[in-house]
Amino acid sequence: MMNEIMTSQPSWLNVLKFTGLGVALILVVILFVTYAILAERKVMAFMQMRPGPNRIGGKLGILQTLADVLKLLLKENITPKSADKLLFLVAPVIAFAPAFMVMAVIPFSENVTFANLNVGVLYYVGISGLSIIGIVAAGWASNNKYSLLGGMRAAAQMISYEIPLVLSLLGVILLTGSMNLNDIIKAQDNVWYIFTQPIAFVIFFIAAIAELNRGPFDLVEAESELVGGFSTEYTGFRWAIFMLAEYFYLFAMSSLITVLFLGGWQPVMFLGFIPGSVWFALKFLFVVFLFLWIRFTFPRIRADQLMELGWKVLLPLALANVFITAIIKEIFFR
Amino acid sequence: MTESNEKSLSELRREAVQKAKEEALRKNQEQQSESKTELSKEDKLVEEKKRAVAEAKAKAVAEAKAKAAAKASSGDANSDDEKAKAIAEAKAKAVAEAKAKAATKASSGDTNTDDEKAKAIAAAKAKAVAVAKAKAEAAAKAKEIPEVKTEEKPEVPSVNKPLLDKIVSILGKEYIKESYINKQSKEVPTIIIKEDAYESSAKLLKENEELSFDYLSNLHATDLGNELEVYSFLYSSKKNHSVVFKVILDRDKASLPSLTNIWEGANWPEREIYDLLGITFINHPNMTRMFLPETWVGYPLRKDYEQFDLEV
Amino acid sequence: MIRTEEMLLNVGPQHPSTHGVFRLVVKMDGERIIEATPVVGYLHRGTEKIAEDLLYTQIIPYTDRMDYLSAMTNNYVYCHAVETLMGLEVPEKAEFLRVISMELNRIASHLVWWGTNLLDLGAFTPFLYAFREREMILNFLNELSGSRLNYSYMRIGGVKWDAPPGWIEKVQDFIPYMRKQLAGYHDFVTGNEIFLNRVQGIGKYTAEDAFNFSLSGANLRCTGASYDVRKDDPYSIYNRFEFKIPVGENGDAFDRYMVRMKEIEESINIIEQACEQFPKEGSILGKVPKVIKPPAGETFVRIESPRGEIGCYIKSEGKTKPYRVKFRRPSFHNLQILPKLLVGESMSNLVAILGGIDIVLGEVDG
Repeated sequence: MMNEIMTSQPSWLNVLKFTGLGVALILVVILFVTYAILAERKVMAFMQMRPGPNRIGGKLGILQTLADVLKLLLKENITPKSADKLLFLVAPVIAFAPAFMVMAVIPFSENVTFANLNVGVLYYVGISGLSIIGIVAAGWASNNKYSLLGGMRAAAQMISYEIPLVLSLLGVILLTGSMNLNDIIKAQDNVWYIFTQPIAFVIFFIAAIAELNRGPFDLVEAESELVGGFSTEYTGFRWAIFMLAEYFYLFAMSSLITVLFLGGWQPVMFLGFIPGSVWFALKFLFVVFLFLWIRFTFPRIRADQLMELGWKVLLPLALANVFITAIIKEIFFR
Repeated sequence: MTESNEKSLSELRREAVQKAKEEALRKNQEQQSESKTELSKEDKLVEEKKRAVAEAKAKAVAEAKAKAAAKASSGDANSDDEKAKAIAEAKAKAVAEAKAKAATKASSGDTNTDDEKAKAIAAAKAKAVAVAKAKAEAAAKAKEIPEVKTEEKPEVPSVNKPLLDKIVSILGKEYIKESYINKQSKEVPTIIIKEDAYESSAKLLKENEELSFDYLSNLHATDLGNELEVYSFLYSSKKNHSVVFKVILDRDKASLPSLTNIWEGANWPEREIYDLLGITFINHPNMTRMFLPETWVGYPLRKDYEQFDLEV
Repeated sequence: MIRTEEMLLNVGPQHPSTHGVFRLVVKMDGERIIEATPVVGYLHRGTEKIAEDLLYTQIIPYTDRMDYLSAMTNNYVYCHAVETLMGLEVPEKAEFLRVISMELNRIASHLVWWGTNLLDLGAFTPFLYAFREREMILNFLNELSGSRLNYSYMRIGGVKWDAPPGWIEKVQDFIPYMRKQLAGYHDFVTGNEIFLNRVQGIGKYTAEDAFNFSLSGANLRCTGASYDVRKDDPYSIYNRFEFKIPVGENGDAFDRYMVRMKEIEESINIIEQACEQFPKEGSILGKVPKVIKPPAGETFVRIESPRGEIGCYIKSEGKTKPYRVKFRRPSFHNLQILPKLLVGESMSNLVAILGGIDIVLGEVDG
């Protein structure tokens, strides 16, 4: 469907279609974010033996996030006196836009892909790297020392973890022979890449946590050290946009892991009668749960140890993985 | 005993003076039509009164001391009881004297009868309180006597006596003002050192092999009224013994060498003392106020401290 | 060479990891600390000055508010000082109740420390586990004293209330549960690689330094120095119980952690023995005069609070009000070594070190 639209003549109808699809996707993702936050809080509460949100929207607190969003919308937007006003205003947008852009390439089921790019993986990695500019800009523009430290940490962390992340992907790309995400899913018809590329999966997963700035790699925010990191000075909906970007990335990254390592919408064994989108959702939710689980279990890692892990452990491992994969492919799958 | 008497006396005195002051202030406000010169005169008067009171106090104390000393030297079996009584008497007398003096001063300076009356009332009140107190104290003393006697009878030398002797001999008797075993504080040996030997003795206490007091457990100061006392509780982790090490300072020029070179742990307690009692420590790395802001006026733990901000 | 500029960073008084209103002025070069200056006094309430105008019994509630995480030990040190000054005898049953409540309070206090220290290190979940157990202890102490935090349970010469019926049995039931939970804590946190990396070798000092800086409690014992007032200068009835003094080896944040965790174990042991030997009969308040008027003199007593050696100095003039009261507050003394430990460390280590010292600001500021 998407390809048809893509190749059709430009017309006002197409513009409307694109806009409509975009809005639909963003609504889906926002719905996810709304409930991902609730799920996070519920999972956290479950792990910490407490009920969690249970007031707004019945026992399950179904409307809790909506209430939170409403609160954030009603809050005053404060711009610090000595802040770089323009940059302070623009930074959340810079951080948020790439988070939504990366979703274009992710195939949610056999038919639902917004852009079937041949360089899908590369597109994802490239675009997702942009949002760090927004975070550093926010840290700088706030004119707050904690924010600045947070921004600098974010930059350092991003550079250290982008490289192992991409290198671990190379193993998958080598096996598939394509950077198209749809092709990657199709290549996992029989065996998922998590079984053929376990090392790549582990590296990718760790690097993904670091990319997402989630615990135990949430040094950028690190509320016990840097108060709030880059978002210390942000209030109201500007702050909410940062949070939104974070959860959008959680959505995107979980989708990507599902696609790359868990076979995307491919069903398990003989359970083919269940539609692909359901399989995708199940796998995706499992990955999200893994992220939450890890967040609530581990203490925060220290900045220098984080760098050490990135450069001294993950990078060599990822390189070795690429090397071994290449050799194996050359010998056995020629 | 004399010390505590002196204390209560001074307290009473202060009460009385305070009352008189207040009365005078009220008068001032009432007679606002009068010129400023008169006001200043009255201020002077108050000051004079104060001085008179202080004089009387000193005199009374001296008297009481002398009496007590005389009684003590007589060595009567029942002397304690008598002593207490004598002291109480002296006290009451002193109060009366002081009041009288203050009253005469007041009357000679100004012809304000109201003021005089107030003074008289205050004096009478103070006197009554003093008498009552003295009686109570005498009674308490009398009660205490049997207890003291039963305690003293066995006269067991404290287990810490050898330690105290050792410390005294190591530090040198000539530097020690007083040394005793404090029975009320788990029999801890207590020494009061002379002011000039403070730092050197502290050093010796830490570095001497037999003593090796390597742990400064507590360091604080107390306002004794006329003097300041710096109290440190030392402990030796190697020998498992402790000592109380005190020094008494002049109130007006209160300064001591800092102990931070000997025990680093003295740093903050010394700042605390400076903050709350106004003792300056020489060679301290950072002699600033610990808790209160730098703009604070006065030293709160001194007994004569009055809050600068009257609103509070 | 890149020229870098020093940055002055105010950590606190409003900062999530300073555990109260503590301020640290930090001079930083990037994320490396060059100099740290602690600023205290935001919570100074002048307890010692207030105490001069109060009757002896009226001071007890003020002691609660100093180290509000272990008010029992504060109550005790003050009451003990007055009793020592007056030469009062405390009935056996009262002493048992005091020891049990103090040790329960010690566990509660260490649990708070455990939780908040890990919270500083970025682990949120242990905090709630710790508070679950602490809640049970607070309920015990609530049943005993009628209050959850500021107990004012002890009186001069004894305690205020006898243990309610069945209380001792409840505490006894709690002992195996707490042991099980403690093992769970170790499984959950102690072996965690990230945690070990965060605390091992951080904030190291030697025993000599520790003595020199007047440190006490776990901050002293982590260096291997075995100094615990409960053993070295026994008070109350501690000499009747068998317990060990846990010590560390390296004097780093991890040893401080382990010492405190082992102290919880030893406290459980003490409570177990105390509950077994608990006398059924007897009074809970000794023969105390109606008006407390200690004879003139001065006294200084020390006991072991969860944070270290807490002491109380009282100078009496034979009146109903003390002439001077002074508390040796362990957090105040323990905090002194902080500037020395922070030089050259990073922001993350600052939090780990400060959390490891275990300060309560109410106590630091007095």
